[in-house]
Amino acid sequence: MSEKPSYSGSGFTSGAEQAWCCANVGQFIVIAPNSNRFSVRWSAIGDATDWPILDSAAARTKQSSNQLFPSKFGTVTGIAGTDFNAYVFQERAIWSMSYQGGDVVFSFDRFEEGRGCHRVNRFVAVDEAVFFESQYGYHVVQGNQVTDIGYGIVDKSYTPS
Amino acid sequence: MAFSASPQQKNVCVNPALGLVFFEEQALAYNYKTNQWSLLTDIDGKGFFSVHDADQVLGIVDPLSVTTLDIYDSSHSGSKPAEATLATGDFQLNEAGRVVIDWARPYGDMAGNATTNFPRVGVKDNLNSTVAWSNAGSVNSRTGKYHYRAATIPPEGRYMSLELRYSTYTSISGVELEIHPTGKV
Repeated sequence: MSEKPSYSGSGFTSGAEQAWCCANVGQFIVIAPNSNRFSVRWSAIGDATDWPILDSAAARTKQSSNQLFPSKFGTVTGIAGTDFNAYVFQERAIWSMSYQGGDVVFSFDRFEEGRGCHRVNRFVAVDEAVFFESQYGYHVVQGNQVTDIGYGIVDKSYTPS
Repeated sequence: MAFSASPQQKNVCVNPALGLVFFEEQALAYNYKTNQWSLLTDIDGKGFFSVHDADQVLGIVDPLSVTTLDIYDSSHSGSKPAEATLATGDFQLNEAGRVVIDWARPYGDMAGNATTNFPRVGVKDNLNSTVAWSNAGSVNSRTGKYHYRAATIPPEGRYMSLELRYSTYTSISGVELEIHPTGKV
């Protein structure tokens, strides 16, 4: 997980999709594709330009795959990535996304229901902490723990943007 | 927490050097170093120097404008709180009974003496009772000890607590107490 993928602007190898948001997670590019707002998809390992056909032999070899999320938590609104893992935000839930390798590639664990990133990209990552805005107010997530930073007068006077 | 990362998104952005997260459309900034909010009515974040909570009401900073000198005042760099208060719980310092506190000596890097009437000793004979505060009578400039011998309410009782308050400090690490057991009651 040392080399990060890069894109030189020469065009994609295959299957690239338009996306609502994207992030660099380890050696992958992870996107929330327009084609399914309740999912994320990631590139071939170590190659941001290579997007093999899902579930194909090439995809398995290159560890490219996707993950669907329950629609009851809303659409995917943000991906905050680091070198080893990421947070995937739905409108009303947060998932931790951890690299496993092999056929699994990434594991997903939903650790928050209710608070999520209520609008696309309404968050910012600062090292291991991610500040975000939910339908209830302002929060920070770190180490899979969500803290209400706006608790009190800020959240009481809060109106979702 | 150690923060050093770079900004990642557009409409919520961070300035790691200042420790500020800007929620642009809400005209809000959050200082994660001091856990303070600021309402930015006129400022887009550029050149914003620090968040200073002058009245310390609920950790909320009053609405600021570019004409407010506070935010450009170098004395507020780093958003160090204007005043810090540290309070202990109620301790029974003498298992056999009561104590009287002779003096207290705070440790740390504080430029100047404690805020007037501090440090103060809270006295209770019953944990459910209301605390009675004993204010130090004087401070010895050579030893830094706050003496309670001349306090209006002598700090004598069963359960003791201590409250420190400094307006200027870098760190406050602890406090030393001189106590004397008294007779059983």
